[in-house]
Amino acid sequence: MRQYITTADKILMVVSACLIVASYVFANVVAVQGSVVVIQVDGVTVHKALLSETHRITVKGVHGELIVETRELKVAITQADCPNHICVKTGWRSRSGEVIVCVPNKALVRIIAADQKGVRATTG
Amino acid sequence: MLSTTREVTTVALLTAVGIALFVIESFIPAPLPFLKIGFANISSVVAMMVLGAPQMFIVVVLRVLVGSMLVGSLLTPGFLLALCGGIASAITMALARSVRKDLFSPVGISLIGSFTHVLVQLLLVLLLYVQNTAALFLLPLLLLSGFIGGVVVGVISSRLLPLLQSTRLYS
Repeated sequence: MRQYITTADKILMVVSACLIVASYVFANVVAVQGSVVVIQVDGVTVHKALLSETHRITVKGVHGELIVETRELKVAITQADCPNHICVKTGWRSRSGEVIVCVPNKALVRIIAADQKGVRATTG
Repeated sequence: MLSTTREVTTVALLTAVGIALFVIESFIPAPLPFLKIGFANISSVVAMMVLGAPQMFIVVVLRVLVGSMLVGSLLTPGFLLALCGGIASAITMALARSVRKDLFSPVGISLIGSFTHVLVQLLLVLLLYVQNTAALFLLPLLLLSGFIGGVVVGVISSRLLPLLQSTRLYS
């Protein structure tokens, strides 16, 4: 009773390899589609936008003005009125749970998964 | 289920081997707790091939119980995941074998078990611990580690089984 790889094994391997690729695509493209960008200043939510849309949002921070941009499923603080520009240097973020912070402005840009409780996307 | 002395001893032997593999593998550092090969599963695959599905269930449950006692994870969240994952993968492996004996080789069977293990654990994590789809980002990584683990365990098991044939493990 020597064991060999059977046809069913091969089919299973091919199917599971496809499944891995599909789940990778799903996790990195599809799941991000519905993500919401939440902008908070001093703990108060001032803006919400869909990550999948293109926006250029001007936010008034504690220290000065910030410009938050979303495009191609990514978000970044592109301009900021603050001394060190750490928030701008953070660059483009795309995954839910990621946060961009501007401490002098007390501003927070957060990406939230689409179906998280209590989040409604208001765009525009 | 365990009708003969030979069956009792074989189950005990395979359980002991499974526990040893489980404990030794827990020494290997892993970046994430679930990224491991799952060498202990060799003992369940062999148990099913040599004895049958009911005996494999005994091996799996005993191995998880005693193994986590030795590692010190008994009754922790990780233990619950290991137990549920182990039982679920035992069920699917038994089903895969019950369709037709020569449909899947040990490689296919252990792949099925490994995928079930990974998916059930992720599902439980999503249901019980993190109600956030962010955990889904782990899915490709988990499936890949399940694939590698399943193939490694399957290949080892299918090499092992012909060797065991010449021993008195088979009645």
